Amino acid sequence: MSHEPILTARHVTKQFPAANGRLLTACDDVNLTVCQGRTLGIVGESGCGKSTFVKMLVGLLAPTEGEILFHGDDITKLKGEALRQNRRKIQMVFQDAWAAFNPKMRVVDIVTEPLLNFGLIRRSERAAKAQELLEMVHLPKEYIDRYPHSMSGGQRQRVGIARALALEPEIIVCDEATCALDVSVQDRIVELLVELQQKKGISFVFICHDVALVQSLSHQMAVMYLGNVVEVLPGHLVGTEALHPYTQALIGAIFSTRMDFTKKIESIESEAPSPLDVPAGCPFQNRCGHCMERCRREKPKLVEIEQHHEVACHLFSR
Amino acid sequence: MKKKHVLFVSFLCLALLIVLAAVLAPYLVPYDPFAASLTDALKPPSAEHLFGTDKLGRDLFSRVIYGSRASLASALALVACIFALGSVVGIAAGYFGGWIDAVLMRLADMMISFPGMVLAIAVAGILGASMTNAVIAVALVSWTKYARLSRSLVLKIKGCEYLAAARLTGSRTGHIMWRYLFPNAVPTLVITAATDIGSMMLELAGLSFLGFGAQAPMAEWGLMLSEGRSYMQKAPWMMVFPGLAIFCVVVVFNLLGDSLRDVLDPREEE
Repeated sequence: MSHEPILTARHVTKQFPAANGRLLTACDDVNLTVCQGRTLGIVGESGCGKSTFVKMLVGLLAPTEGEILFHGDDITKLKGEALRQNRRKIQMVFQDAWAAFNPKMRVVDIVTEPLLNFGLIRRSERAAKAQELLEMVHLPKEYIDRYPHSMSGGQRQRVGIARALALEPEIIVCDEATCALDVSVQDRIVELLVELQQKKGISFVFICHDVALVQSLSHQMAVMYLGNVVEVLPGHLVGTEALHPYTQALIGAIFSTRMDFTKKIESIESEAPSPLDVPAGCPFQNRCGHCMERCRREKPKLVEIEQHHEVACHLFSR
Repeated sequence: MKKKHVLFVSFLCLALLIVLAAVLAPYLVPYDPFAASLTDALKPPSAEHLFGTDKLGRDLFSRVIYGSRASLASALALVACIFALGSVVGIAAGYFGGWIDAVLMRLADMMISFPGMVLAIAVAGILGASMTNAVIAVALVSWTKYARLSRSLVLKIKGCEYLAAARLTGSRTGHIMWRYLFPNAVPTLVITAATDIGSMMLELAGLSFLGFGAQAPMAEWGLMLSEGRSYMQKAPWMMVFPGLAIFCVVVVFNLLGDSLRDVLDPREEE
């Protein structure tokens, strides 16, 4: 199977107006690519701009600058019916499975609504189609008549995935889709996503702040810090090849039952600066152990170190 | 059955009793409410005339029963009007925002800045005195409450993730309004409407009392109060019984609205 790029973000910047005429930069010149049938993981702390970025990918927000190419067409300029038609191809699973469903709708209405919206099925076919979708996410068929609020968190998230699958999209964006769930439930949801990817060749964009989870699942993993992508590398190399000091700090902070408890758990000093006053130079400078004079002056660019491995750090730029 | 359900059902029964009295009025009354008989004028309550008679000798009991027709029908029509108008305006303003919101809400602010009754009197005065015009007048000054309420409900719903999900799955605007905004806003609006029936009835009775609503010889409680006013000392029953009728009906509908709120309030469940 070829893994061609299908969705490419080019120089995407998003700024929000804040109080006193200042600008909050949520995403700063982000360049990322989603390949067909592959998973792009995005990790980073809360507030690093990962949710803003995927909201732009799915067309819920418009970027301030830059373009997002889907099969070569810029989808940020789409409006009205063209935008609506484009939504068929890119779907999303939401973070909060409590808030992601209309409390007045039953599961059968929730999962078939996308199909009815595009006139792909008739109203009489709803129940059958809903059962089929529930089967895909391993939920009992009888659940079609339930309301989301009478289901558990894991079950609701499966309904969310079923809804995203309904339109048979090319890309599904999971915005921290598992982080509100128990670890055991989380694992099963991730297994489900991997299974669906293998069966249907769907591409995933998977956002999470759990580095261990993302690296195990992603073909490519992007690390974001303060609106910037600081490192992109293949998921299976994260443990061994990660170069950026921030990525290494994140890996150092992974908890595991198999970890060596005699070693000190490394945590990153201090807080990330506010995205309202991003310092000149490298965004990570005030927390970085390797900070040099150059880092305070000049912002490092994302440079390709090896194939599929890019880092934005002066330590590694030649 | 929980206590709040018992309460709701009992008030619902009382309200239905009132509605039934209005519907079955012709079969309940002992006399023609419009037949004047001057020899029987201003008779106090007795076995023959339960509530006494008025200045034209009409049976007050019959008139009070018939009065429920005018009051109920107009109050219900009024609440239905402002409910529909107000929630459509409010949902549109809340969902679209921008200049549509600004225009609609400034209009509502203008309406609110006048004392309701004074504006209603002005409108009823311009349109001419009749029950229909009284309903229109009160509707024009009361829709704002529903508009503001539904707008704030919509703004709350708009922030929810499920609305983003709805847009993402390709829902059209009309569909979002009908399937998402309306059903989630409607319980609160219905509760408000139920508690409003009583106060709307009072407003209409007030307009009739002032001469801007129902016109003689119609049997309407506000109008009957007004007719009884000049005989207050000679024949107090002319005011007491229509007044009591208004009181009872307003209390029943207010309590019905309150108990409905308790029943529908999701926070108290479990």
